Amino acid sequence: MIYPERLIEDERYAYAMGVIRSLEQRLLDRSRWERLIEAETPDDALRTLADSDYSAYLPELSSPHEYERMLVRERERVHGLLERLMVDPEYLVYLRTPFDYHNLRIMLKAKIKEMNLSHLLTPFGNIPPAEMERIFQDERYDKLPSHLQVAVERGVVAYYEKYRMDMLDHAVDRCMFEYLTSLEFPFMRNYWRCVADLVNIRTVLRLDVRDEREKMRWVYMPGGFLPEKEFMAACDAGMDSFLHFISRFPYREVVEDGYSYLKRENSFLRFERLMEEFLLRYLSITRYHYMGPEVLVSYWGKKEQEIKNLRIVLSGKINRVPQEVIRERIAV
Amino acid sequence: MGDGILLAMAGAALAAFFGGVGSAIGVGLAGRVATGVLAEDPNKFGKLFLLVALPGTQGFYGFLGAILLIAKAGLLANPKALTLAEGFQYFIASIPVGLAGIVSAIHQGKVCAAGVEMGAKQPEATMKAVIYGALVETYAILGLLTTIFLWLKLP
Repeated sequence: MIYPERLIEDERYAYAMGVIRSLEQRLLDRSRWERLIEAETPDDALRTLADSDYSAYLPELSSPHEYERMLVRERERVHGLLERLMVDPEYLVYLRTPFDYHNLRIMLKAKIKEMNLSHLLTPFGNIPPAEMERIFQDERYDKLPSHLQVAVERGVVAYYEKYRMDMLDHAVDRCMFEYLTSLEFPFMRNYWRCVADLVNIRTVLRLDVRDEREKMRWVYMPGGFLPEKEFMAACDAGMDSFLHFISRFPYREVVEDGYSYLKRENSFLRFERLMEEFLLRYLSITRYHYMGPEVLVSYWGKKEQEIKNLRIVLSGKINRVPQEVIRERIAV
Repeated sequence: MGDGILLAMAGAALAAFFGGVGSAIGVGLAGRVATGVLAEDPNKFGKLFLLVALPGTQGFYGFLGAILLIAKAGLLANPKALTLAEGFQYFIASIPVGLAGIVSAIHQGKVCAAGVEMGAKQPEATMKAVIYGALVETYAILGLLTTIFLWLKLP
């Protein structure tokens, strides 16, 4: 991988390795994705999932429209499994932290807009949704971990500067990246550093389409591998200069292919796919790792991507989205 | 009984102890990975068994070395009156099988654990992993043979 760091060799994970290596075999492979994409109807697509990890939930679905229930159940299974297998509980906390930020963002918006958005909360964070709601109801933010307290403060300040929700989102996202890109776990830290870089690149492309590249410094996410000063200078100097700057880094293929598709088709589909495939390749370095917590994190990441892909395929089938569009969006 | 018999006994104990400890660690490691695999796919028991059992052989080699030394020193019937120097020879003879056993068993356990991981993904390649594990075994066997050659010359 691009920025290698020693993976942790930890024999306390011996049992977990056996379980995860077996489960990795059951991740949906390319041929299965192809059959899912080519399925004529949503029912056919669901039938393709027989003898997969999802088969146990299929009898519970009275219609393909209920696919979200199946995906939630599978996500619960994976989170439960990692809870049992992860020997170091702090790594589990790191895995759940992005969901805490999601819930925090929802609660901040609900508080500001005086609306009930509890149906948008996810149960996969470290803080249960009910607890999160209670904290916001009683305004006892001191009960949150310190990095989330900072996010609350910055999110509120950012919103009241211009009364814009997108400013709140950016402020909370910045806090999230600051936290996740400084984790005491190199494999996850570097994963989030790659995510930060790719998110920044995607933002530049989006701003370029709207001819608003000068706004980049307001929405830049910290913590990535790309040096901020050079990134900003290249962005300010125009797209040619920006593409030249990126070509020095391993994100080159993602950007070159994604950008030319964007210019040709006026769509971010391919960039999104290439970005996710890049992150999957990063996670796949654990294939050559003997034993350690990274293998569990990698399985979690691949499973999250699989669930996301399934959501795209099944909603695509229900809404009669053409096969080529679905295929273009699926990262495997 | 002379003072040497104590050293001979210590040597026999060392051979059995180190071989046994190494095997326990090695089998323990490969066994934990295999148990994880079987938790998801019990049908792989047969394919993985050899990989889990392989690091256990050093324990037997150590035990064999110990029995040879015990028998030679007459500890099963009438203990020999060994001098300190003679007892030290017994002790030295026990070292190859003991030390080669503990080190090779631990490393063989790691190779076999990795082999079990491979077997979980590619069951048809399990025998290849067994061959890698067996390569580590060579050094435990050499340790045992050295002990046997030394044992032949013991008083």
